[in-house]
Amino acid sequence: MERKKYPVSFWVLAVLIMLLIAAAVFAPVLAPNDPNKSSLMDALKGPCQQFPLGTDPLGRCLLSRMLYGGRVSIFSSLIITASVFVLGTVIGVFSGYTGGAVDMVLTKIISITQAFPKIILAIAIAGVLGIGIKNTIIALCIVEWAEYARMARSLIRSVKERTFIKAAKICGCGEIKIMFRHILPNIIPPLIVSASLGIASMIMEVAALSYLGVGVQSPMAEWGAMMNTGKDYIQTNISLVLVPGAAIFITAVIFNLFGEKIRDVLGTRN
Amino acid sequence: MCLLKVTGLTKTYKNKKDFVYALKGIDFSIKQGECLGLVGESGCGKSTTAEIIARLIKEDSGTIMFNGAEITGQKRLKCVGKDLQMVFQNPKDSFDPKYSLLESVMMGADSYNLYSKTELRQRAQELIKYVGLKGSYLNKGIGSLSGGECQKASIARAVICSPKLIIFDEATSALDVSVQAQIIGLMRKLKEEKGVSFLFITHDLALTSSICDNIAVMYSGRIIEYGPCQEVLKNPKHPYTKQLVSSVLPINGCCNIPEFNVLRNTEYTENSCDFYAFCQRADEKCAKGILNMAQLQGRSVLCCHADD
Repeated sequence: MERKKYPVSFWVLAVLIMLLIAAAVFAPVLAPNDPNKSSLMDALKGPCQQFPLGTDPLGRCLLSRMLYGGRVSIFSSLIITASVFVLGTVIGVFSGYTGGAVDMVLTKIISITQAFPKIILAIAIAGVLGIGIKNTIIALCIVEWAEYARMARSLIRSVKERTFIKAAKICGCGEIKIMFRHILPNIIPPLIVSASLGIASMIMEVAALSYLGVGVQSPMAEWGAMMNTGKDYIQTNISLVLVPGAAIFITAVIFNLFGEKIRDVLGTRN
Repeated sequence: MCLLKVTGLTKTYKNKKDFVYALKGIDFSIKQGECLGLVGESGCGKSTTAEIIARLIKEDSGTIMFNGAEITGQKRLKCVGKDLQMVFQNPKDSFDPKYSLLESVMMGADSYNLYSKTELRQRAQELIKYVGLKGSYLNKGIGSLSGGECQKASIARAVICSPKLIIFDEATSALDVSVQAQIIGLMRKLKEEKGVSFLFITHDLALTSSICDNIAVMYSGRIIEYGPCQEVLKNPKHPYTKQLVSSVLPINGCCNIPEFNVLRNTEYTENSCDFYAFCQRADEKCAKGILNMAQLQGRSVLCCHADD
C-alpha cells in the first residue's frame, strides 16, 4: 500500500503536544519554586524575578503550580481517554458483533448512561466516591465509556454488512481472523479520531470537577482547582484565573487541532 | 459429472411480524465445466440461492450436493472450502480498503494453506496479469482502481485457489458494456482453459446467451423455466419468461415494451400462481393453484393453466 502523507501542520501540532507533555513530565526541573510551599509574606505578588507569573493568595508560585498542574490535567485526561477508549470499544465491539439479546441489553445500558447529563452524573459519582484525583478519573470513566461503546457498536454493525466481510468468509477466513484482519482495522481509525478529539473535552471536564471542588484535593496543583482559588480575586488579580485558564485553553486547542489533523490523515472525515 | 445438485431448497426470512418466502423449493444442477445462468427480477431469490450454496446463510429445507457430497446444513470451510468461490455485485466493496491489490488477491488462498508465501505471491502476480490488470497496480490500494478493474481483481482472487465452481452474483450489473464483455471473455477463458463451472446470476439476458449453457428463470422464489439457454431465450414457454425475453431492448431502435402492470387485484390464496396478478393470460384456475414442473421439449417448465 502507498504510505499516507502527513502534512507539516500535523508534525507542528505533534511537536507542540510533545512539548506540553515534556513540560508536565519535567515540571520538577522546569519549575522555579516548590508549587506547594506557601508563604503569606509573598501572597498575591505580581510577576518578579523569583515568581515569573506572580503568586496566589497563599504565596505559592503560579508558574510552578501551572507546570505541576499540567501533570494532573494532561495525564489524568490521557488516562481517562485511554481507559474509556479501550473499555467502550471492547463493550461496543462485543455488543455489535454478538447481536441478539446481548446487544439489546448492552444498548439499553449505553442509552441509560448517556441519558444523564455527563457532568452532573460525574459530580454525583465523584461526590459518592470522595474527593481525589483517583475518584475523579473513576467518575469520568463511568460517564464517558458509553460514547465509545455506542460508536464502536454502530461502526461494527455497518462494517459487518460490507461485502468484503462476505468475501473474507468465502476466502476461508474464520471469525477471529475476520475480526482482527478486517473488522478492527476498519473501526479503530474513527475511534482514534474520536479519542484524540475527546482529550480536549476531558481536560475541560477534569478542570470543571476540580473547579467545583470534587476533583483534586488541596494542596495538589491542578488547573481547575487553581481557577477555583483565583475566582475570588478576579477583580483585583486577574492573572490568578488567567494563567490556569490560558493553560487549559491552549492545551485544549492543541489537542483538538491535532485530533482534526489525525482525522484528515486517516481519511475518516465522512 | 454433476458438480452441484440442488433439490427442494426453501428459505424464509422472518421480519418482525412478516414472513418473506424467499425460496419456495427450487431444483437445478450444474455439471463440471457448465455455466448455468440464473435470471429473474430483483427480489426473486437469486442472491439467496447463491448465498445458501456458498454456505453464507442457512437454508430452511432441501438438499445441496456439491462435488459428490451433501453440504446441506454444514459450515462453509468444512464442506466446500476452496472449491467454491464467489464474485460479488459491488466490485469495490468486495475488497477491504485497508489492503493493496496484491495482498487482497493473495488473501483468496492464504487461509487454505495451499502454497508457500513466495509461491502464493508469485501466483497472485501471475493471475493479476492473467485477468488483464497492469503490474504497476500490484501495490496500489483498491480505492485507486476502477469498478471494472476491481471486478477483474475479484476474479483473480476467486481463481487463485483453483476452484471447481465460481458463483457470479450479479457481478456484471455495476459495469459498463465494454467491461462486461471483458468479464465474459475472462469467464470463457477460465471455462475452456481451467474447466471451471459457473453459476452466473444476472438480470442481463444478452450476457446469459453469450456465456451460459443452461438457464434457469426465477420468479418469486421458484424456478419457472429451466433448460438450454438458446432454446429458452428463442422460444420461451412460461408467460413470465415470454414477457422477460420481450423486455430486452434492441440496440437499433425501439420495440414494443411489454407492461408489467397489475392486471387483477383478486386476493391470492397460498396456492395461487405467483405471476397471477401480472399475467395477461391468467384465468380463475391460476388463482386457485399452480401446477408442478413438467418436461416440455427437453426443458423443465412450471406448468401453466394458460397452456391447458
